Amino acid sequence: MTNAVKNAEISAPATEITYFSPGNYFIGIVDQIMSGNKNARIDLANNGAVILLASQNIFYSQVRDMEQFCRAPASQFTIRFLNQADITSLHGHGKPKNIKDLLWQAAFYASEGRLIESCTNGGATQIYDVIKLHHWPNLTRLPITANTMRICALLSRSPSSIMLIHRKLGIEAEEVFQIYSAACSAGLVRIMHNNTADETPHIENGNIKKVTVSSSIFRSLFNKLSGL
Amino acid sequence: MDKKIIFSGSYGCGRSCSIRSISDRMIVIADDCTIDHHALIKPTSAIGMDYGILNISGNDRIHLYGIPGGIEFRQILDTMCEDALGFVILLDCKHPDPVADLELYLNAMKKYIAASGNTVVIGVTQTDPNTTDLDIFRIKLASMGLSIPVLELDCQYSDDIKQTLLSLIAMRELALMQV
Repeated sequence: MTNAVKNAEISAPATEITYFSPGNYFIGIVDQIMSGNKNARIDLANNGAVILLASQNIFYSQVRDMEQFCRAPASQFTIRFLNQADITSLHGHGKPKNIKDLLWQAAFYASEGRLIESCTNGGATQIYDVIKLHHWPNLTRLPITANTMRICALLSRSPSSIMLIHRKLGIEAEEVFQIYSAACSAGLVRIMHNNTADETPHIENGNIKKVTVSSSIFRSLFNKLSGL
Repeated sequence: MDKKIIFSGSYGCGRSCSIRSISDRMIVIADDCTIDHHALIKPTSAIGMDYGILNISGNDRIHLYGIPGGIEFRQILDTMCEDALGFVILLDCKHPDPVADLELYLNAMKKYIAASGNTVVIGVTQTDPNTTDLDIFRIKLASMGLSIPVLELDCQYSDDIKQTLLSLIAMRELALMQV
């Protein structure tokens, strides 16, 4: 589904937004199992499985290629619900991880630069809603983009909307959509205020104070660390 | 231009290892037998400071200081934290109460952290393979009114330290822009 959003208040030319439905991917399966508080094994042929224990908010991963796993159509997965004996036998199956990490990964990879239509923890996505980051994701153990830290720093410090993040930080909209989709699915985002396009303050391009690196040393340090 | 980043934390938390993994050049000020009861945790430990340098470009450098967090080093902490670009607080999950450690270090450097615009990252090391849950630290931070990153770190893995410093820069950038 593609929605062309004509938004003369915030950006010109118009920002094209492409949405994706979580129900079409692995993330939708996870959402359904979580909402039912079930425990299940989710298999994808030739790629492995995720064992999801919604009752304990943990998961085990036996997946070879997580990116491919999360981008596969939902119809390709097989689901088997687990009984107590199955769960007991899981001890020694490796390190269980927090379910929020799985939700982040699943939405991050499914996104491919598209915006999630809605997420269980955040409702229908509204690009003008003022949002805030509840807490930072565990960046060292999750897939991220080059500007994930900047997006998180802004949203944890100062509530903003998806479109204003894109404008303020000068980050490609697709990257903001991907990080928002991941953060929203993982339950890291809190909606502070619902806005519509009409309610969003009229902001000419020149009136948006873009956040740029205040000194060359920060940019140099960023480049140095990124290249390490 | 010279800037500094402070690494602090308890004995054996990984200060030396973290600075070593990212520095262009590193100097350990002192490395000797660990004093008193901390010897049970780690037989040797830097009892002074670790120091490393990141050469950026031209004359720009970032000085990395690893300062022990024990009460006996409070005066060093007070001297070194002034005008720091940011702080990395390392917590060792094998310590009896790492959440209490977190509160201790945040309070010890409170005024300097505030002066930096709350540019601080929490690095959690020695995580338990079966029970790691960073939420215990996030809950403590929320109770202290802080929304700062809590990251799982393997100090020997330079990518983890790199990610930590990139988060620090992002936070500092926005603090300076007063966003």
